[in-house]
Amino acid sequence: MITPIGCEAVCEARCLSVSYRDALVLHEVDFSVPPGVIMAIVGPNGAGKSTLLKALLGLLPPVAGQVEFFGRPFREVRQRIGYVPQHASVDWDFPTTVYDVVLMGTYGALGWFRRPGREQRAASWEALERTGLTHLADRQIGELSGGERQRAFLARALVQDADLYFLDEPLQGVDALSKHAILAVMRDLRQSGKTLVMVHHDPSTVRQLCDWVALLNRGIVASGPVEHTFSEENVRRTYAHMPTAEWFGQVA
Amino acid sequence: MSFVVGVAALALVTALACALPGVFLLLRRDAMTVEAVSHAVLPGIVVGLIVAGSLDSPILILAAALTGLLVVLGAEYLQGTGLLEGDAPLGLVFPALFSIGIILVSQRFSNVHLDEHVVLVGDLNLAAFIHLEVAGVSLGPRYLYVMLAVLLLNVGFIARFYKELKITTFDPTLAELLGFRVRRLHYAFMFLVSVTITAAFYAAGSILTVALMIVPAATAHLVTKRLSHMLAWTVVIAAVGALAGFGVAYALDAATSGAMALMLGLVFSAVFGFQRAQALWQTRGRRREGRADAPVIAPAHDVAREVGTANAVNATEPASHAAR
Repeated sequence: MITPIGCEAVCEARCLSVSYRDALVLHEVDFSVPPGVIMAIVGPNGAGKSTLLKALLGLLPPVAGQVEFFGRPFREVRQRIGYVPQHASVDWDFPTTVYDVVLMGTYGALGWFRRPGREQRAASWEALERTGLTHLADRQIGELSGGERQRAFLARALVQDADLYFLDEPLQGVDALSKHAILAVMRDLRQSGKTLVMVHHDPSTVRQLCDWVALLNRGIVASGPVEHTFSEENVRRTYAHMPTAEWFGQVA
Repeated sequence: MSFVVGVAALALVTALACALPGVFLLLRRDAMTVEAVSHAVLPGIVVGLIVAGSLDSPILILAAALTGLLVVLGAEYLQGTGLLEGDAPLGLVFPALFSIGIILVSQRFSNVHLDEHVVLVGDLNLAAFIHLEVAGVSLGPRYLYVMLAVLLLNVGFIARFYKELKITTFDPTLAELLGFRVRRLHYAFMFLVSVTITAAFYAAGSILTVALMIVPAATAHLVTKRLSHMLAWTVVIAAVGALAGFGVAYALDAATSGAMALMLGLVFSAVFGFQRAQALWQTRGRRREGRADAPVIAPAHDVAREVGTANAVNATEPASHAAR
């Protein structure tokens, strides 16, 4: 696996195997993320993309393998890691405003008992501003559109001020405006030296959006910088039995 | 304190003590767990009664609350095996414990006064019967102070763990990632619920306790979009329901707990009906104006082009896209 020389990986998994009940979903995955990139995890449906994300973050116990962030186990550096879940995962009827949801991102740093104060409130307003949601701050979270919800969850990860962000299909089913806003924030984060790893559903946009890629199908097929790794050959191996040529168009 | 005022105060405090944890139970979709716990505490109550001899003993409440927690743990264990789905684990555990309780009650151990009727609907008047007297002055029903203690416990717990309860209820995944002990808080909270149910049992019985816990929160949920407001409305609705229910029961000489549950149900129906009517009115109005709120969705391609990245190799986009 290629990592830029002189840079330690911000996330490294070795021999990670994960199973749901009896079925092995991921088999001996070796995975590493260099600092300062936007990395896409792509692969066909059922390849284990979301599972990989959850296993990395310790939300699913792996059968075997090890994961380290910044050279340490997750629990020692959890404040430096942000997570934007796939959007169907919470109760949208919950009595909470968009602002409150964003404020929840600060809870981790506060720990038990301490309550959000002026600093946390300011950070939340700033995150709302960056994601273009200021005018919706007072809405109940369920009143937002799919794209706005996604932005709210991105804002919640932003207030955490993490160094490494995991996003599970952040662009799936969102409107053009939200997509624009989300991508702008992601590029901004990369500019300031943060690292972003996103599960991505659309292989045709990998070249435009990302500079690093992992091709996944139950195991890592290939991983590295987009210009080398995202080759027609590798993509075809990942998406066996699927027409892949159109994703390359004139580029291939 | 006169007897009537004592009963009214007990009704009010019991309703408030139940309604507060009800907010989080409702939001955690644990309403049926209340039903299960309220039945499962019975063997604990009977055993506690044999040991301690009176219904307001703290030993009894603690013993029964622990039996209630058995349902939560047992159901979660069964759920974890993956062999049973949905409510089935709860449905397996609580009847087993309840049946043990019923058999114990029907055995009529010496000096245990608890009949099946009290088990189901409670008896507020009976609970308020023994007054606390200090130097010949009545300070109200003794049981009022038991319920008051439970109410304070609930208020204290929710105030102390408000932020934690909120995040673990809304998004347990995030809570876990941020380092909160989601399960530990869950068990602490369920223990508190179990204590509340046990204490309310004497006054409201096992079935009506469920109404006191869930209905005010469900009503408040309809009218609010903030958790803090929902808690406040829950308190108001529980208080109105309790006092109105007491008034009706007093006027008709009916069972107080039943009247309380009925009043709460009426408040819920009224709010629900009003909201449905309002929603219907609004959609009609909108249809008449012919407004359409269709979101604009553009293909991923356009935006990717527009935003671009260091790796935007794809330079041969159709001009129509670039023009956007």
